[in-house]
Amino acid sequence: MKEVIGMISFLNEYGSDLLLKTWEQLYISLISLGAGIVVAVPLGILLTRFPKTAKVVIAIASMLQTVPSLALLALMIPIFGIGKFPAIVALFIYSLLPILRNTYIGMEGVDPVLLDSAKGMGMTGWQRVWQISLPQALPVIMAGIRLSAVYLIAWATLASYIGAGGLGDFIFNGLNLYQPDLIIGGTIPVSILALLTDFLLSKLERRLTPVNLREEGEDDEN
Amino acid sequence: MNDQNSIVEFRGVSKVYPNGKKALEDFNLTVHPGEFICFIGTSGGGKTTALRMINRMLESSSGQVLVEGKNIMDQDPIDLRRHIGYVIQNIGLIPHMTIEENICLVPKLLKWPAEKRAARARELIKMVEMPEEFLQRYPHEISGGQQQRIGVIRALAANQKIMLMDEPFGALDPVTRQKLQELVHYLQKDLKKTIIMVTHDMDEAISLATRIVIFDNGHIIQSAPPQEILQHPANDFVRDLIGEERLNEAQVTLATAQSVMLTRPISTTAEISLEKALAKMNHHHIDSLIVVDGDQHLIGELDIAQVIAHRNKLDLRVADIMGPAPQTVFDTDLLSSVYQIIIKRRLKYMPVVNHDRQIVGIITRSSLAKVLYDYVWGQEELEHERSDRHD
Repeated sequence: MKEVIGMISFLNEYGSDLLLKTWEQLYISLISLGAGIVVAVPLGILLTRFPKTAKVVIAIASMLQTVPSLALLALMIPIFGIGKFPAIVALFIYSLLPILRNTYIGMEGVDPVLLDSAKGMGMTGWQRVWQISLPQALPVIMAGIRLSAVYLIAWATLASYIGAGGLGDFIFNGLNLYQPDLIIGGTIPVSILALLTDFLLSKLERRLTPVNLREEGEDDEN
Repeated sequence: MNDQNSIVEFRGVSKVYPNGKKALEDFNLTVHPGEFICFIGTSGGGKTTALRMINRMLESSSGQVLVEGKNIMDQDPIDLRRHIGYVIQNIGLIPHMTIEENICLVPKLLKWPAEKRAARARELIKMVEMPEEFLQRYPHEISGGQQQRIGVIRALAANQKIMLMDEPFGALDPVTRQKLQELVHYLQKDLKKTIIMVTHDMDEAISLATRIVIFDNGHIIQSAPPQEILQHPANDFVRDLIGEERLNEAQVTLATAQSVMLTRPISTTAEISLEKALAKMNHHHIDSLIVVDGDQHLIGELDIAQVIAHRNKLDLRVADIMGPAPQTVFDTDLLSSVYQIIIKRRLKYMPVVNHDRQIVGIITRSSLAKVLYDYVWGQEELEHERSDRHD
């Protein structure tokens, strides 16, 4: 009972703030993710046409991934100052690699026989990309997007450090004030947000998966 | 020197791969409309290379390829491919498209209106005796043989005149394969499609092709109708490719009377005396003589029984007592039919005549025995080889 009462009083006190911060967390992540998809998916597709360049670009993206997240956020301050924008840029950079790599691998992994017969029937290069490779590669691309999404939602917490707001505000306040309820109150929504996003994206992934790659029993869900 | 009647023509085509490997060298071939050409040979012999050059999936290093009289290098490759059917071994149906979408792929690329496409899909699926409901299914929901049937009809959905097939039935079980062979045979025979097929299955080539083109090392070794290849393989390579078994079989089924007959049969004219005729029989250890006139036309037959019946009047001439001319066969008749006549009528021999009805030889029961012996003996040889391999 005590816990429930504690929770209710916490929500009474911080409820509206919590909603606002959760919303901030979500939209910082989603905007970065959206920008990441818009850049990385076409880039990944394009790279399949230039395999040599692809290696270089993926190496660069991997390198960016190794920069510690806090350091990357800090590096944004001299360039973009503080606030939401630099946070979004930093998170966007993080989203690139998983999406780019999965797009590239997914496109490369399409059965060459399929592409050969499509070419032999007179499909143009772009028709093959749009009508064959992309649909076949979608599950792999979606896996990259899901991975990015979960990471970004978690890492967006750190964005609070450079003044971007979000649930990180709760956690860092809790740390500074020795108030565990603030830390927990900030952490739980982050986890829920990450899990929920992953779940929704997995639903989307199933819908987008071409029929031949769907596992047994999934058909009747639609 | 433009051959008006060619639908596909290779003129001195060579293909050298970047690694220096010569896949084809000075390749020349003219394919006429309605032909069923089978490319066969060792792997790496250039047959797939040649096939893929026709729709510019590969481009020649030198020489020209002409389709319907036009150099394909002067045509847009995309447009060219849309007008040539293409079937590959692994079927290549697009897994996330329905059967209907797959069949109508090229018509859609050619921007046919939707109703026309749907009608075409129904027409084609009926042709391969599959229910119309299948149009809404996906490739993985039908069997491999059905998929390849769709693969075949997809290649002619836009009324392509030429169909290229790269080992289309290699991965199918024998029963399914036979059904598909019947289908492509129908396409060539009744729909007058020109089909060029790469295969490694000699039986398939022999039963389907109007002409077999044998490849080795980027060259044509022989290009001829199946019968001719079976009867006159160009060299040992072709003989090996066909296999001893098929050659022996062909020797029996395709051999003509001429190939087994004894030439210079013992004959006599009608004017000589019985005494002389008897001497001739004795000399050659035979019991009958065929009687010919001055132009080597068969006019009768003298049997030892007739001579015995007239043994007291040996000064008679052959013409006085000879029997009627025996039944003859032409030198071009197939041995199999000759064999049947001899066995059924219990004949000891049959004279062989040419088309001027002149005697050119005879076939005896013993010559049949020799052919049969060669065939069986050849077979046994193979059996031995096989059991050796098992040991």
